[in-house]
Amino acid sequence: MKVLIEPIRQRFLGILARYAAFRARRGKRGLVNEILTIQLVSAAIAGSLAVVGLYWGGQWVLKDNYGRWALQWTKELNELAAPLYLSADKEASLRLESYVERYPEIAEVAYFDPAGQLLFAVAGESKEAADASLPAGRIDAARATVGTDTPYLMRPSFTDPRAFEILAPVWVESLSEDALFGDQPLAGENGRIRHLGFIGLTLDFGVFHDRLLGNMRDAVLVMLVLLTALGFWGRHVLRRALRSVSDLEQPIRELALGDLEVEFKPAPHREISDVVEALETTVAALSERDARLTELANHDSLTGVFNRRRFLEELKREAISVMRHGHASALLFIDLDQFKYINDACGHPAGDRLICKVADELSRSIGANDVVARFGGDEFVILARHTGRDDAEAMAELILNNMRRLTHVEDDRVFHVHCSIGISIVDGDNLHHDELIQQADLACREAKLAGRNRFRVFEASGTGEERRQADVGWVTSLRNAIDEDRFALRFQPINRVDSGETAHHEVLIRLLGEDGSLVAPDAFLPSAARFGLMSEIDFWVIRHAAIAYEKYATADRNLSLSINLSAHAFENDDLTDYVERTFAEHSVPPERIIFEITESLAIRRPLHVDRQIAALRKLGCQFALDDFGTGYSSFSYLQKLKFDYLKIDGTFVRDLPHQPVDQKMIRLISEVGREAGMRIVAEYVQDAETLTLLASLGVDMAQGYFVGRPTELPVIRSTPIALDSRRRHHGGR
Amino acid sequence: MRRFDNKARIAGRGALLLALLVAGGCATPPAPEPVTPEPEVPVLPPVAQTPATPAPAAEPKPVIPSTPEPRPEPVTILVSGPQTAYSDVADALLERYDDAAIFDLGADGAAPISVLNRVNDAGTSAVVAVGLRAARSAVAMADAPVVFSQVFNYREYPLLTERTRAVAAYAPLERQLAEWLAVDPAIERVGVIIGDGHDDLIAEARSAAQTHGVELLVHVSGSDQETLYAFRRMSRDIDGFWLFPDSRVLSARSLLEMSEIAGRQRVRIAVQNEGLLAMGAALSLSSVASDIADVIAGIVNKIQSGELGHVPAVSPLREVRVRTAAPTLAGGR
Repeated sequence: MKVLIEPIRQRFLGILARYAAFRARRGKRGLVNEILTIQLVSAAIAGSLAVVGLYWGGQWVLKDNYGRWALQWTKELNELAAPLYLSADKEASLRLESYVERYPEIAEVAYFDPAGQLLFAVAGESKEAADASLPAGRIDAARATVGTDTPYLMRPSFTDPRAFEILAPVWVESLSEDALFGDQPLAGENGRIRHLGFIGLTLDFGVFHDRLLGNMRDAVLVMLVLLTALGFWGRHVLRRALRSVSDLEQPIRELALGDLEVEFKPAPHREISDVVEALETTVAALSERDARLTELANHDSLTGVFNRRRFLEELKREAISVMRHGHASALLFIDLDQFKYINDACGHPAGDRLICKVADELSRSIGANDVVARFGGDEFVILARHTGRDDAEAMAELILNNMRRLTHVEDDRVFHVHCSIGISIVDGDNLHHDELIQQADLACREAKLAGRNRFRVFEASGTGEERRQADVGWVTSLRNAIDEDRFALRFQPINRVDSGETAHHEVLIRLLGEDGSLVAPDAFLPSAARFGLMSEIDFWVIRHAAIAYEKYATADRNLSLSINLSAHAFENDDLTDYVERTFAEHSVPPERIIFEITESLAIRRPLHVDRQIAALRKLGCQFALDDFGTGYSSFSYLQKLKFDYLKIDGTFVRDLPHQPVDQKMIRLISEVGREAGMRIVAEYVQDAETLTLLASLGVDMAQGYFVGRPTELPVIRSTPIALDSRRRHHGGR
Repeated sequence: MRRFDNKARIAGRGALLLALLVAGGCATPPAPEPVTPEPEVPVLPPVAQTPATPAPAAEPKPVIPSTPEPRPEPVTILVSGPQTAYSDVADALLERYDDAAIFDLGADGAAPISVLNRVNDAGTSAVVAVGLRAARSAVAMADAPVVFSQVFNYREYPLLTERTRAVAAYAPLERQLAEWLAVDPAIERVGVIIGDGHDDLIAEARSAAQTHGVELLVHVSGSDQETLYAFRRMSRDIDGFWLFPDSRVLSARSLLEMSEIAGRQRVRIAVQNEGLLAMGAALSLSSVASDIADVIAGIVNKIQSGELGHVPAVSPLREVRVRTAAPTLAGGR
């Protein structure tokens, strides 16, 4: 048995698997099949209802006809039978049999006497035997029909709906004796009725019923054939009608893959045509948006020249071209000289306008195949294709000359903007784009160091290379230091001038060298800023300052720390959350922390910086404006900026006893600062004389080697009030 | 002379008589009215017999002429009911017997036994019964000889005895057929369906048909169903149907259906009663009241003259009255 069942089981499982695969492949129902199914099912339902109605109506008509025929036959059989009862007419029975034979529907005729006993029966085709006697109830019921309009009882057979049984009384009537001598012989004539017996009639209308069923079967077959034909025809028509929808599939797929050059076939139907039109509109919009995105992705939003990303692509492409074809190209790194001054003096919009003007000038200075891009704030790069060293130098000279002639007018003030240019040559030995840019950058810095407004060509040997190597080395060291936590904090006190007591400590960062020495920030922070590591360093300082606070606050309950934040720290949107989280983690009261930001950052204050300063202030942190006096130094800004401390840059303090102008400047700054609600801090206090002088100029606090050197721990160190000491020390960060 | 011109008058007199009978029955019977002797009416010669006249039921003895006798007792007339066919005959008789007593058995309270007791007590030379009911009552209870008319199935009861004589209930068939052919000469095949016991009628009809060259189809039926069945079959072969008032084999239902079949088969039906014209018959060939009265009078005369034995059991009529469904064809003879 198992041998027999197993193949069947395997076959069944195979069918199931194929069906599942088909379902998975097809996934969803087909529109044509669905519409067709709805139509066919509707037609089938309507057809079925029609057939049922036809059957019901046919049955009703047949039944009505059966009744009429039954009445007719009953009457005629009644006439035929009367002589049998009255005169035993032999011919009457022959006539009766002949009559029955004429109608195949008459299955049997049975005659009963008035008591219901069978007298004789004439069987038709059925040859069934009649019952010997009639039930009394039927006798009475049949007798009651004598003289009525329907003088018979008819009941359908329970076993066969096509058969009917009829029981009719046989009777004769006669007129009253002298009725025919009356004036109106039939008026009110009841006559005399003589009941003779009963006729039992069995009718079988199976022939008609079967014929009806046959007709219905034919009708159903015709309907099925029509439905099938309708199905094929409908499928063909629907497929043709929906072909325009199917035609959309491939173009839409291509569109989804990003092909905006796709074309749609025109559709013959209005609805699909609308869809095609909408798709074409969509493609047009997508093309426009794509072009816009491409523009944004490749171009600098301010100047319209290529941005850094696009320039790097062009540079990579050119490097490959150089490698393949062996020619040389040049990379020019251009940095505007003193751009910061214009920016600070006239504001960012002025700086932006100048940048745009420079970009236009540079674009005019290059060849048709060359590329100019904005690389940073005031940094531009040019890729001069098929350009050797001489041509590159000529181009640099041309640019310098053009820039020298360039003037920019802002607020009736005329600015001359010069630039420094570094050149690196793209040739067979120098093809890596990062190195090319670093080389050009180093060359540019050399140009600046050499006095600005000039160009330098990167030399692969000598001090330039060493510096580049050193720069690259700093990046590596900084990365390692961040990863290995090889920084250290130092704490330099800031004391009150009047009392000599320590108000708070500025947190200073040192890099732990490979040999254990401490590296000052001036040595590594520029590289960190250049290579995008400043934000991480700022966050490192915040975290470790918090740790230190937690550690040392137990010894000094009045401990307050000031932390320097670069502009890069504010680039990170998590700054506030990080500060809040870190301070909470180490139980640092935010009001014990003062964040120092530079004057240039404070004045520009981009929206995101402003928002984060406000959030930190809301936490309770204080802010100090660092290095005041080195930049724009506008007193009007002091009123607008909400700072708690104003730190006067050390350049005003360094030679204060001998510089009356500086003294007046400090006095003025102090007065304005105090009016703005700020406490004034002087940096770079090297001796007692300066301290004494600062006190007289209205400075609140002092910082410098005379006040206290940076120490490993935040040491409270009071400043001597007697200011006769003449010590000289280097201040630092 | 007491005479009724119509049915109402017959009914009124019947009611009066009934009142008198009731009053007499409750007390002493009223004394019979004195009868005035009248001169004897000469005996009329026998009525001419049709070729197919049936033989009398009893053996009539030859009528022996007798010498004039004193005026006989008056004649009593019994009427079965108020039908015109009866009242017309009664009126015709009253024209001949102005002293005749007349009783309507169809009136309320006119019980036949009471009426006949009254007649017997009053004495009468002959009782003339018009209609089956009157005939049956008179034959059963009257002391005097009885002459009856307007009775078709007289053998059914039976009514013919030595003391009773009948007048044919239909006009002579030869005359009927002649009149019918005069109205509708296209008649060629005539059918007759009738109950058993009418061999004399059938013989007379065959004779008449032969005389007029008409083919006659006859079926003796046992019931209205059979009559209807026979007519249904016969109707395909005939163009005229002679309907005789045999109430045993006819019913209202069968008559109506026969009329319907005849209409479909274009068979013209001739009836014996004008009232059946409304049923759809083409024409009526009825007897004439005065003719009936004359035949009765002749028989009564024979009775009064003691020549009852010379009177045939059934005396034929001599006249026929024709009425057609179409007014233009209506007419009487």
